[in-house]
Amino acid sequence: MAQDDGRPRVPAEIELVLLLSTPRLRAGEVERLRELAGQVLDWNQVFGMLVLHRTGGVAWRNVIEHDLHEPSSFRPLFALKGLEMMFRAQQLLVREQLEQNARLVAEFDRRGITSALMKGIAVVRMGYPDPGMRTFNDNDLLFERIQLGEVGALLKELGYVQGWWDPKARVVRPAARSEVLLHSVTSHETFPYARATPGAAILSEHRIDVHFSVDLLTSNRNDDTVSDLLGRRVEIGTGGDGGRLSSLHQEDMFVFVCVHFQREACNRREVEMIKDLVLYKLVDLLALLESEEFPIDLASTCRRAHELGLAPEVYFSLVHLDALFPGRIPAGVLDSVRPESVAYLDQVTHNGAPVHSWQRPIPERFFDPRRQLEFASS
Amino acid sequence: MAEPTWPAEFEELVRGHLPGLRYGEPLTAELVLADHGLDSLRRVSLLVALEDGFEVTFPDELLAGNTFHTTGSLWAVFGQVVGATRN
Repeated sequence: MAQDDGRPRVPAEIELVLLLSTPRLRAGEVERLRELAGQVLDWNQVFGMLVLHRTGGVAWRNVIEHDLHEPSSFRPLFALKGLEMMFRAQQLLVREQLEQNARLVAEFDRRGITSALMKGIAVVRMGYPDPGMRTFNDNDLLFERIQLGEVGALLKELGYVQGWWDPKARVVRPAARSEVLLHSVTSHETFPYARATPGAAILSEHRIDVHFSVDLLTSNRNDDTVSDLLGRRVEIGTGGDGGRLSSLHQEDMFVFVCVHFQREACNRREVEMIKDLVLYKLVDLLALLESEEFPIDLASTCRRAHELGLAPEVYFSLVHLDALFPGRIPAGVLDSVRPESVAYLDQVTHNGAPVHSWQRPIPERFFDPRRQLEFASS
Repeated sequence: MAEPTWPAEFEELVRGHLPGLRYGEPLTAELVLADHGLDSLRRVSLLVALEDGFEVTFPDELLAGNTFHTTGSLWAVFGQVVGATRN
């Protein structure tokens, strides 16, 4: 819910975090950001939220862009170094991820394996003005299910192992066969592959999530949709001279990011890990919506969502986006994807069945990291 | 309709993972495995048992389809995996 001036009805600390986390601020928002940055606030909350919601990189970019690093512009000036370090580390991490991906995708291309990057790395290239604004750990690639055998064989040939990264021993621990099988049978991807990257400055391991369906967190398969999405992919490059990379078309990517947000937001297991409502996922949508290099027509994107049968997921995500960033979704767009029943907006589900309905409005529950206590006691 | 001929070891392993299949009830090709108790955990347990029993590895691309719908669909895929490994 927004106030009369269009701002969400939230405490000043949350309002400041939302402004600092906005990739492309508008004039009135910059003015309000400057006003809040100098105030006496609970700065523990502000910095805690920027870290937990993974938007510290965007915050640093806004600090520099709007001269908040000047003396007396930002109340805890001494704490800004942490944001700068986060931003610079993320820049380096993205560069190293891009190099690794370019090498891998070149191998897939050589073998005639069609792939498209999704989520983190693709959103960084498509939506954000600077790679330091967004961090990510896994590299998500979409493939035709029929090519999974060749994909797995090539990854193993290149030294990738299906397993977990052990940060202490700095090795990939192979997963048990039953874990590998369970992952493929119950989800939209195979068990993740990883390979240590000892030559990299900050990237410890290159992780690949091999997707073969876009019906996330379910065992439903949609091979025709995957073929359609791969047929529309676009070239995104690496931002340097490191080769070519392809991603889903930007409007398909927007829909996919909405599906990802909705599926995790409703999932009880994600709620328990505080991974259900994380701000960077909505900030990704904002970044994609306002990209100049890969422009999005929201009306056409909503039509596409209907074609793919994913309109409820898009509606869910746009409602959340509108609740935290009012005025960014044009009037009429929400109505075009609104399903008949909207009860699912507040539901937490387990194995597809609702197990709880949130009682508090979106902005309130979004920034309460103890929200799971509400359904744990119900 | 003639039943496909699958090895006794296959039948035994599948039966062992279907708690809803009554004693003496035939394991037909059309039997819907999920209706007889093959949930996702049992599916994985069955896969591991089949892989160990026949010394084969199930390829990822075959795990993702309707392979586990009926006994017949499972054997159609698994029989190919076994055949390809042994030829």
